[in-house]
Amino acid sequence: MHVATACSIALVGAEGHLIDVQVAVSQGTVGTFVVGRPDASLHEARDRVRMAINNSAQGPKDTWPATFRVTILLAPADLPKSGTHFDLAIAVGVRAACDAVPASALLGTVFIGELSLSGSLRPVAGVLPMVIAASARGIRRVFVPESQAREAAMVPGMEVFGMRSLAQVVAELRGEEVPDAAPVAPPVRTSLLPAGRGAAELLDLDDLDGMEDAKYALEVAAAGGHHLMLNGPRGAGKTSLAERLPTILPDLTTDQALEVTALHSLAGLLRDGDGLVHRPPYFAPHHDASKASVVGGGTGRVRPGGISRAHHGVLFLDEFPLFRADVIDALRQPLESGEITLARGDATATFPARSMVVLAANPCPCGNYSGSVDTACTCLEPARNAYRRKLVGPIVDRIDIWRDVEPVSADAGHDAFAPRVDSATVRARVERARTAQARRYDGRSWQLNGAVPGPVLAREWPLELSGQRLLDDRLRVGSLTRRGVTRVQRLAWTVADLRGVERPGVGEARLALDLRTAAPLSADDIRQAG
Amino acid sequence: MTTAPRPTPAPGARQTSRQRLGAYGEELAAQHLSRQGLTVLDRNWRCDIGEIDLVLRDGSTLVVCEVKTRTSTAFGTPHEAVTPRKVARMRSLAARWLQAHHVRPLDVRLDMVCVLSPRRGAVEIDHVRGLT
Repeated sequence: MHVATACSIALVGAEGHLIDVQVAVSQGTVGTFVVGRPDASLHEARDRVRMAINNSAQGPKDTWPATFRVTILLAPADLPKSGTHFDLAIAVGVRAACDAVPASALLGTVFIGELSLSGSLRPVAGVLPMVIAASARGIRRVFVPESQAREAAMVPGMEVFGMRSLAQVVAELRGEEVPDAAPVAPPVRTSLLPAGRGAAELLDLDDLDGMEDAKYALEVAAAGGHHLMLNGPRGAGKTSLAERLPTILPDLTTDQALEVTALHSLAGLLRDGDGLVHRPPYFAPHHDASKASVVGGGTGRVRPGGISRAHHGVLFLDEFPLFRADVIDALRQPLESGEITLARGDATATFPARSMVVLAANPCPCGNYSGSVDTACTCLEPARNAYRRKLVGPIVDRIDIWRDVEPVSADAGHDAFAPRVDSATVRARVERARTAQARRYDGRSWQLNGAVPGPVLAREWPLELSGQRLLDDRLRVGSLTRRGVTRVQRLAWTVADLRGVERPGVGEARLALDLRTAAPLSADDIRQAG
Repeated sequence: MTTAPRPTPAPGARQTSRQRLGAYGEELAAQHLSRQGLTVLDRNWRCDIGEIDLVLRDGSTLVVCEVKTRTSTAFGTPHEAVTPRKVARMRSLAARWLQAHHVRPLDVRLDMVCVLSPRRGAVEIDHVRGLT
């Protein structure tokens, strides 16, 4: 009896598990049996692998062992497995069990890739998280489809073999000269519209005239990682503001970039030639979006949703009151814990989902309502009320900063003396404020003011007495709740960090209070920021 | 695959080429197993549910053996022709044989012998012990 083991990785959510693909070739009733909780796509691997081996055979000895019983075990056997990327490990295991490949060549090596009937190696989704998982388990050698070698090589210290066919993999393992093979075309998605990619790099805060206090709110949100709500009539510039928020966020750290790129790989968003995602991502689902598309889901293999695609970036929910109730409800957990857990019958998948949330709402369903008498709004009063009633609840409760965005008057932007501030300048200030926070929260599980637990903040980093007194007064009058006080304290710290103040005093507390309550900011307050 | 037993050819009747090939393979298999030290007890034993190609004794073990003969592997190897369903039928046939002959062996084993007899070149015989 001959047994061989080749390793691959099973993904459960964003978590990778090292899987031993054990292949036993023995005498007995002939057949191929895949055991160890495979799903339908993995069961089909029997047929793909068999034909792939036969079609890449050099001679009759290299063919599938058709006179033997082939048992393929995916161990640990109790973990449900899914996906077509086990093909390569199975094929290599079968060849090794037939003594065509030395078993020692398979040690400490992970095989990832789908096989076609002709024996060519096809790309699969999620290579980066798999290689990260392999690296965490001490694996230092990985075979992947050629077009994904770049993606796999993002993991430091990994020896990556990008291969085009099973024959090439087998030759490499035998230490023979690798035969030539036709390149495998990566899956091509052609967009009818040539634009899209690259457009995001052209955005700059400087594009927007006026809106000083909304811009300042963006800066505070970016500096402290605070969630933000933008209220305003149609065309006031809420979307323009939100899509420029990523431009003032600092570059991702290497660890963050790996996490984000891994999530994009899982979602199948990475294309050939894409490097590490090093800029904070931005994702804006439409308000009709389903729960599965926003928080993740799907049958069988669970895929990350928009909230995970925006991990370490910005999730923008335009027309927030029109989002479906189940979507809003599902966003509650990721906002609290920074990750989303999707429970399935046989497994739970967890994806990281720590993004800044920007909500936008119109004053009414038609978007034209304003307080004045000559309002252009055509909505009926009950419709307006129903719309506003959606602006309460667990998600809205977690918003730190509220801003009213008014349409910019026609002569804004013509003032030649108004200081123009571009994204790079603001980003530098944000980075400075974040450095101050990193120093303060050194060794803690959080890095930003927006994530500091309330009690810890009140105990270890209280405001100056004058600032605290201001908040206590508001609490006593009843215009601020206890939770509100905590939020204002966090904001006050961010304002102080932006201003370079040692400890937030009454000025910072008042500005934080204004940010929290959607009160207009004075020009002095804003200017002090720079 | 035939599910009903094939009609017993009348003695001296002309065999089809497939029947001749099968008989040839069974003869080769019987010789091969005898050389291995097994004793042939019965050949082509029939009952209402089918036929056993060979019944043998291997020490204290009774062996019920299926012989598959092919001239090429173009339609699969002879090994692949013995499906789990065929093995199940061999098991009930073995029970019938034991019942009919009042034999109580210590152990019963199901084997197959695959004979590949290409039009040119040497004959290959493969004996697989212990089908499950």
